[in-house]
Amino acid sequence: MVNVTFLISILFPLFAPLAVYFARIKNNTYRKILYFSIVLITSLFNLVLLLYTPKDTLVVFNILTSMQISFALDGLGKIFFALVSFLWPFAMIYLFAYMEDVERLNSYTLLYVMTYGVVCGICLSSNMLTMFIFYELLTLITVPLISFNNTVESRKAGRIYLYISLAGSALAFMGLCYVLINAGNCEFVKGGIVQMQEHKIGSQLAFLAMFFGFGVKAAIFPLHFWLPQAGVAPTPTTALLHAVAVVKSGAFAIIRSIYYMIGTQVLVSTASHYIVLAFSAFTIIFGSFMAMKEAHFKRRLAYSTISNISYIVFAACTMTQLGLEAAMIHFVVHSISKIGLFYCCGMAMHKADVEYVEDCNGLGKYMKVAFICFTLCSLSLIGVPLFGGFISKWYIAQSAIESKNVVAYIGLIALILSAIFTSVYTLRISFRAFVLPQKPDLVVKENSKYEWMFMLVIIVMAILSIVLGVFSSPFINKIASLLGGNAL
Amino acid sequence: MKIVLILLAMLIPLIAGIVLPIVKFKNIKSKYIASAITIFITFIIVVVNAFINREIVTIAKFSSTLSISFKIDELAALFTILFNLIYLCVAIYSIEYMKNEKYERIFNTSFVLSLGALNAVCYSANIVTLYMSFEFVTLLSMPMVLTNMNKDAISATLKYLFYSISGALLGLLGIFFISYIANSSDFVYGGSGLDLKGLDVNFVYTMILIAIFGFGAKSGLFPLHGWLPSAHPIAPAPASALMSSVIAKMGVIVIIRIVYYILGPEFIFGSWMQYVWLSVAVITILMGSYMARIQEDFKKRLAYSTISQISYAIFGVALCSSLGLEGAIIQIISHALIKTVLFLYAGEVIFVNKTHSVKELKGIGKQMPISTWCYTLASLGLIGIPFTTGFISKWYLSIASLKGLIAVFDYLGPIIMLISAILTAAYLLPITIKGFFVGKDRGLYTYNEASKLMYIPIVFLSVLIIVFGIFINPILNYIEGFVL
Repeated sequence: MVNVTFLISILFPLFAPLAVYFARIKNNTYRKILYFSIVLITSLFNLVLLLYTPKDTLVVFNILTSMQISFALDGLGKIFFALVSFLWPFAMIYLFAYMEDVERLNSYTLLYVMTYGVVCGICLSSNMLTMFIFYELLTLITVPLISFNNTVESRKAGRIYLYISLAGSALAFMGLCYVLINAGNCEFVKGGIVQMQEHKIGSQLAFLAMFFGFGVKAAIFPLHFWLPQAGVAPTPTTALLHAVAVVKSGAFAIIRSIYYMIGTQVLVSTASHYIVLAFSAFTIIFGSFMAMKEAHFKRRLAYSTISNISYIVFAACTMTQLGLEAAMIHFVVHSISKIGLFYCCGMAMHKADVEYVEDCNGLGKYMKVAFICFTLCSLSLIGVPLFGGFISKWYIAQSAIESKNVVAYIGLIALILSAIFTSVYTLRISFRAFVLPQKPDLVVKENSKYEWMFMLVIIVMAILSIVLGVFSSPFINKIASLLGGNAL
Repeated sequence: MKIVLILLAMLIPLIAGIVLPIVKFKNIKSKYIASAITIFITFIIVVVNAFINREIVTIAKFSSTLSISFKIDELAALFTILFNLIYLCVAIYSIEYMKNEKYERIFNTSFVLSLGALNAVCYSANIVTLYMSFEFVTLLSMPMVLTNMNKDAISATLKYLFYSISGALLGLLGIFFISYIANSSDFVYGGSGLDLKGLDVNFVYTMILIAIFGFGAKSGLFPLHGWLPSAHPIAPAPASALMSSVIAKMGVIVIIRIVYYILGPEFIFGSWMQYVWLSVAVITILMGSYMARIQEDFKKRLAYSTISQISYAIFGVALCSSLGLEGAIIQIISHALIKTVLFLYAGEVIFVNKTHSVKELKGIGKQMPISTWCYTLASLGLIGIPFTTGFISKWYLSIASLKGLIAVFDYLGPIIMLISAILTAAYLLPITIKGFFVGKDRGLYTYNEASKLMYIPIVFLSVLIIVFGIFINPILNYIEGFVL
């Protein structure tokens, strides 16, 4: 296939919805179908791209000889690309069901679809400069999605997110500049750019700049604080963007920095190695601990995301091939399970005005299937075998042991403690729903006509969590081979 | 065909547990009769498997080394027969006991489902399968504790849930390292060899110790035993019987599999870790017996007794010798039979007299002579009087300890068991004595035995305690066949 087609994945979802927006279509349903079709077509097209990947890099623009805007699709990119393409249509279904009667839905959906194009840009970037540009675009385009409800807190959350993200990007850019100056280019190469190996100290500093810079989106402590506050955004925003697209882009960028930019050879057993392991291990525990204490349902899930993204970053920071594979396994598994949890949460909020976890008492009677799926996705996150979460935890642990790094062992203990906390903060919700008596002022709305849409998404995510756990062999071998490793 | 039989032993209870609550039965009693029949069928399958089936079945492959696989080896055969038999006795007992409970549905579902998970634990062929089955036992047996649905039941259930899950996750931490150093994750008696691969051996010992404490939480090993005295009493009597006799043993089984079937006992023998482990086991034995004596609530007394008695088995396992393992296995069998009788008896007393306190049991022997005789026999078994299985297990554990080649604990073990036996007599026999010897008040107590469905299982198990106390040789030969 011709490599120009990369641009279609990016530009189509960026510009096609603008046409729908400006057309000012009166009929709501017709408009929704159009937006959904754009997303679906893009996803199908992306599937074709995944199957028939163009071999050559597409160079769109040469700023200088060393600085290009170019696109390609390598193994790592394919995993993120496939995940995003699969989940975005489901997110659209949920968006229409959840926000059926909200004003300015047109603008919201416009931005939501455009974000898809930006994320595709991140996946398809073949060098760090290109990825950086799309990374910034992602920040800008998601700010209005966070502030959408236009309350004082929403605007504040949007502002905080904007400022800290820009600061992080600036920091990462410094690291990028260092690479550009010393290597002359910033192309992603598995194993890192060769010239980086000559600069032991400099590479470490550049890496740390990129780690903490991109770590803002990846919600690494202490740069995580924007994520719980962003809980004021509408649930479709929180679910897809913060459980899948935005935070995962941060983790993705960190993985690019370690394995495809600086290279593990330079970094392994250096001071920076210990530092990043320590920060990610701490975030693992911190996130789960705060989730346990948090009574607000969405903020609890936000802290859970903070913890789980750090599983991914921690695995990547072990600087082993197995760590890379484990990171991407959790990348996929967490997205699926976390979306399931967020959507159940959204459904509870929509049907029963649930805001705090205690509002879920007795809700299981009215929302049996939803809370069963919630429990199944929770079991996956805790890491019970037969669920995907166990597989990812297992390989993260094996990679940590293999790295023979003391901080990695401490990280393992953090992983287990985090799993214990996870069981507390998720299963207590299931317990409330099914066992505790309902609150006297509980009002459960009637089933809306879009009920089936909610249920479809939630059930699919729960089933997938199990499928990835039981039929995991093909799944993990595919990931391993895409990342250049042997079959696990 | 044989592969199907292995899976059926797990699937029949799992499917029945989902179907039985949904199907409309004529009355509650017929539902429990159906449950009992289901368990009987499972029991038959398990017996058949024990004798003729040695196939391995893999139902999911995670990678080249990880899979969910089941196999029946000698240990699995022995334990599944024992546990399914006890489940059957309890099932018959529940027909009568649960007919008036308000939330019996929760009990019935959990009761049947948990048998499937239990068989899965026994049949597990590698460590990942075992971990998975262990987690499912916790999740599926949790509702049994919840049956009363009052405040105490809810808090006891939560305590059970989180102690068990945390314990299992601590166990997982150990499993991560154990599977890293083990040549194979499959269970082979004596282990398949270890390669430390550069890990510090003391670090590995620490991780294994954490795993033992983690899995031991289910079995009431100090210090993670705190859930047991809350959860076992609050559950209805049949549930308490199952939890103490069968489900609590799962922790010991996991530890046995890890130590004897993957690591190999020689790895731990003589290390500092073994001493810590033995010390904790001994502490638990004494603590359990002592706490039992000061309880007024009958079931709480028995719960602490469980904590103590299971630690006898853990002590045997900790000796890291074939003789120790043999003693532990006999103790598991013996305690399972005895504790079921004790808890079912407590249930009868509660059912007929509506009392939970040991202080109100004067004359109970006149009122329920058959059951109280069984209780007495079981108590003698727990104390360790000859002609009961309890004597055999304590004897073997003492011999294993004395021959154990471990400093201090070789004589300390039998001494502790003796002290504990005296305490056991002190917390069990007063009920018999006050029950039968009423003195002047002879006329006050009329015959009011519990119904047949409740005391026949108790009688049956008590007979087994005596029969196996005398004719233990076949079982001993069987165990020695694979242990030595």
